[in-house]
Amino acid sequence: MSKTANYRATASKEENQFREALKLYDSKQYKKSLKLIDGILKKNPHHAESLALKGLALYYSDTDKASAESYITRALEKDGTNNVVNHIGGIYYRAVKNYKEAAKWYQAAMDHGSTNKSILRDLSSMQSQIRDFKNLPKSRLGYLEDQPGYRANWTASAVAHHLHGDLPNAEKVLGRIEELISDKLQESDYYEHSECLLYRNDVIAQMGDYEAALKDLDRIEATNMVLDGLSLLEKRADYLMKLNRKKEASLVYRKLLKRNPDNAKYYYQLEDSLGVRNAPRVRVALYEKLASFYPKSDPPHFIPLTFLAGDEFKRKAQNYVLGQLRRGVPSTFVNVKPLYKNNSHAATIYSIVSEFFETIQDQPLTYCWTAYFLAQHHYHVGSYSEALRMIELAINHTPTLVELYIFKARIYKRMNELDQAASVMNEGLKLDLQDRFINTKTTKYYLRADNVHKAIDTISVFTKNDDSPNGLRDLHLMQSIWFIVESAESYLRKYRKALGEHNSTEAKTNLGLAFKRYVSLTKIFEEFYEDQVDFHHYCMRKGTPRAYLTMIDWADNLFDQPMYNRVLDGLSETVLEAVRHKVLFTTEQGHKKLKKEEIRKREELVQYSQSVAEDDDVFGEKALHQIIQDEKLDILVKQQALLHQHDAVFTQIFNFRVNFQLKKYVLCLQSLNKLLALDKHNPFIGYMVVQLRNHLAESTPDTIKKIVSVGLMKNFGKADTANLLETYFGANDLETGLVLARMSETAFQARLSEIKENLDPYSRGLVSIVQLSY
Amino acid sequence: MISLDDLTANNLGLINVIAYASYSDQELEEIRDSGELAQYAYYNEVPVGLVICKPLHPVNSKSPAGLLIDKLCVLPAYSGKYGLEDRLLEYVENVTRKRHLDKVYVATADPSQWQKFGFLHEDASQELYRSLNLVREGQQLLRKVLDN
Repeated sequence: MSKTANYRATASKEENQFREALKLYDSKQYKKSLKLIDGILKKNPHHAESLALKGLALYYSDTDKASAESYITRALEKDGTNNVVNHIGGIYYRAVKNYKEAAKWYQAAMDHGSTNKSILRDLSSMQSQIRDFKNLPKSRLGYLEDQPGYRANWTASAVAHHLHGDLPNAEKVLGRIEELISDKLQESDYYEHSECLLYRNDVIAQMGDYEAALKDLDRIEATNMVLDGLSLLEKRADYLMKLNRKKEASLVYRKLLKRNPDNAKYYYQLEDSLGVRNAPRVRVALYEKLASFYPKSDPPHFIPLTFLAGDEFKRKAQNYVLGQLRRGVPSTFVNVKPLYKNNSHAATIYSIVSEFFETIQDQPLTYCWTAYFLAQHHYHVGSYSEALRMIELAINHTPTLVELYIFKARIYKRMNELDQAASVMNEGLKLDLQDRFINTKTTKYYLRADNVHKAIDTISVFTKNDDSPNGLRDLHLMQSIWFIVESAESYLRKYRKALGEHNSTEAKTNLGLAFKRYVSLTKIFEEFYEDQVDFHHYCMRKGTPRAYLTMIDWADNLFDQPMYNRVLDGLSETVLEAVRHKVLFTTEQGHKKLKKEEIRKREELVQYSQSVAEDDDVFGEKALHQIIQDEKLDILVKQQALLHQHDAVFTQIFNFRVNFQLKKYVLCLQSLNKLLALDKHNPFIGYMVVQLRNHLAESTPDTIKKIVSVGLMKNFGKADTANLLETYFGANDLETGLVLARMSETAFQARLSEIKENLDPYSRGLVSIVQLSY
Repeated sequence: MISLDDLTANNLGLINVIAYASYSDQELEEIRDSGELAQYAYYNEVPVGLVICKPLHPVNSKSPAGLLIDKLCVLPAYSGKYGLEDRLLEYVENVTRKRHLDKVYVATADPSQWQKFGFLHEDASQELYRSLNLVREGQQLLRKVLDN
């Protein structure tokens, strides 16, 4: 009896001390809190709550971050049904950004009877972040029931239903709160109210009942509470079109045009609503009318050029192009470039402008911009020396215009004279050092010329360089994707060039640096994804569900963007190169003593290569070595999971390359067949077929060999080399060249030489560089 | 259509381009540091002209005798048509007056183009200009006296 009493006394003393420690933790006095916890644990080393709190306090106090997790896991093992321990676990995993675990333990805390309802709010954020939409509505609803006084919780609950695909319930929740709140609105609520009204309308429209959506639109417009007039009009026009009430829709499009006559989309939509797309005469008349209403807008003048022909085209094109040249519009050529898809249009425009050029000797700026236009014309049709002649005419005439230098540099680039291109760009830069655009261009051109140090020097004018020799670290911190990806690609080229020169030290350093840059890029995109976390709560509070859903969509496709494709393409190439040339990383290079000069050079190289402070693997050599040893390619496999667009061309190519290296040939066959269905002449199809045929013999179990060879027979049974060449390598473009560069068979090499003949010099150079490492 | 503006650290590169000259970086810095004594001329916001001048200091005098135009040039395609030269010269004259001076000097091999602006021949061998090396081979010294 006394024993239990005694136990109870200690227990409650423990309890009190723990409460005290928790208080200290809450007021961020981690050290003091830790001291108390250690006291408890000394007496009772199994006190799970204290163990958990110790983990958390260690994490936040910066004393021993590394061992924090072990306390958390021990606590959860000891008493996994204690809701306090669960909650602490959730907080810890959220802090270390393991949102899946965080959601699990927050959920556990609720399941094990925690009365702390605010856990539900954190739980919903975690569920949204990991896209657990199945369980999200429950936790949002739980929190709403606890705190029904805030509109944010109603909105959140509706959004949860929406994300889970339950539109009717989303609409119901939104309608309910609208009713409850409509006579209690204050001015500070107006924006939120407006957004919520429009959101509810979105939900109704997404259910597919446009009649109802239109009726709702009438209703909310009548309340006069919707602040976003543009959305009201766009929605109305959209619904009317969908309901086939085109006459009414056309009136709305006219209103939209009045609001913004520069939005080309409205013009096309107006055409559709009037049904004049296929009636050229009416179309011309329509645009003449519109052009007289909106004489200063571009679309009504430009759009007719896209469908007119013959003399009519010539007359309109003349007005359009010469009008802009007279006004000295630098972008005139860019404006008409879409018309160049039609060769006869291109010829017409050229004859108009070259005739004009002869008549304007005495108007210096018009003369200059016209010469600039003609240079761009020649460039666009591939006559680079003629382009160069024209741009030099312009530069000699007015040597103070930055645009002219930018274009001259571009011509040199296309001629594959990359150093010259960068130096011309730099000449332009000197005219206006505060112009960020040309600074950026110059930096990029130095990178294209593989002069990374000069590039870093150039851009460092605009970066924050405290404590670092140049802007490289700032560019990483500021997530300057374009710069990092361009430098990664430059290092990859430098690697191949070094390989071509049998300079293995140089090759290794550059491949390692390319790897470092690509990895930084993947981290930046991870951070982008990460950045959503706060918004799951914030957007609801601010009443911006529409913007929130746009963000969710954006994040869901974040890793399928062309830029990220480019990153993954480079990253996989880098890693696969390291594996293919593993001798670079595995042969021990004797550590001979460096001479003074070499030490200085090495130090300089570090300065221009170190992307974060205190990096013990500046050149990425250790990391690559590790990957080669490990052979599992985790870094690439992890990326495969991020590609959500399963029917994108790039996804098939990336998956094939990774799985091929891992000898997962059945998966490779799947990628191949998918790619065939998506893009039946893609050069990678030919590549994949050849790769599979060549390597199938090696070390595969017979069953797999059989599956793959039957699969290959099915679609490619009759495809011999000549056939493959014809079907998949027929195009004379850079992409086809880059794929062929990776195939060593003579027949393919002959076709590659042909393609190279037809490529422009710059693209030809790019292919040649890739060939150096294959 | 025509406007004038100061030189800045960021657009010094224009000087050598407009003047077809090759000033060193240090010289360019000095020109900029002279403040109002140098100026760009813009035609429709494109820089096409330039004037650089400096005080003409006789050896034995504390105050300058006037301003000496070191360079006044306009790109050929824009020269003599739009009054850019006039505007630059007018600018120099205003700076001269602002400094309570009344003479503008120029050393040139082509006196005729300056005479139309009211510049007259000035004997460079006078005591006042001793050891200033104002004129080089083939050049003459011209002077314009400003009326108040």
